[in-house]
Amino acid sequence: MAESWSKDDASRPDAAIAYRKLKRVPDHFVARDPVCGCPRILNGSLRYQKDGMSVYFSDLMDSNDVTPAGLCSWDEYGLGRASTVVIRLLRAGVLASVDEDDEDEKRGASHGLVRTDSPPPDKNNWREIRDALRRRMQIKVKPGGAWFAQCNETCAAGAAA
Amino acid sequence: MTLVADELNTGAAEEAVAQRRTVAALAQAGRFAEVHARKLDPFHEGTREPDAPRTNVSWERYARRVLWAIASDDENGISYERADRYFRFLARCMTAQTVFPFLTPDLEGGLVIEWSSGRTLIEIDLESDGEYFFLHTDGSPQPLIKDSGRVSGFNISHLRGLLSVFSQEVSLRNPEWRQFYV
Repeated sequence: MAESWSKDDASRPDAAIAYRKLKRVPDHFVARDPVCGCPRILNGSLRYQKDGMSVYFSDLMDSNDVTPAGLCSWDEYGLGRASTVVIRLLRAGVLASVDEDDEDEKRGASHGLVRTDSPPPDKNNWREIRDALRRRMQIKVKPGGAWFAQCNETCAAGAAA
Repeated sequence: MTLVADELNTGAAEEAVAQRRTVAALAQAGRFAEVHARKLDPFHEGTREPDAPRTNVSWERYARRVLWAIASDDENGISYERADRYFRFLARCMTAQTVFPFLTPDLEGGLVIEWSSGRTLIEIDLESDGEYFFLHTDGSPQPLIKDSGRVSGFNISHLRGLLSVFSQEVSLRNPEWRQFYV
């Protein structure tokens, strides 16, 4: 199995944005920085399972007329994003992978994976990568709302999200 | 519901009140499995403390609500009995002053517990097979602490110390932080 493991497709453009659905638990609860109230991405939402971390790529979405707002049910999910170049700088890779189980064919065709050097679970390695990735991601908690970077310092903008 | 209202209740209403008190008592003890077996909802409006200010919510109530939601969804792979155990683990880490954690199921029966603000992350992953993974980072290239092993051997007192410092720093900067957890 190790011989067939493909970590990265070099033809995937660095400029492509990878979008990640972030399920809220409970549905209504938006995790927030307890100091400034900015929406917080949780490491637990960045799961590396089955064949990688599931994402959607902006260039594939453009080709299939899929918008970020159409990626998830906003009653249950927020949306995170990171650029492919950042993912690769963190020693992970990306590749396209059609989601055959998605009832929305165009959305399924926009699907891809983030991978490490090893297949899941690769736990100890992934846990460090995901924390580094999380710090560089942005989150949106409602379809018409703003994108929030993960706060490294206190700010006043988050509580209004 | 006041004593006067109780006295005026019909038998059916009295039964409902008694049931809510039973639910509250079980949920207070984190006994989710029994609540589920009796097909009760521990967060029914009848169990809510009516006059409790929103910013005075306890970590116990917050954690029970989240763990109940997690156990209620079969896709998360966490039974009510396991949710009980995770609640008891939290009870060993938390005090009334500790900032509330974020709880996320790993979809394999485990739970990811995170205390997070600004650059600081304190994370412990409890896996379904009894293993843990612990991470303490501040955004530096190398983690401050990275550790794993059997939960039975985990240094809870060290975690409590980290959480105490973290919670004091958060509370100094925002004493009303609980508003973000309701």
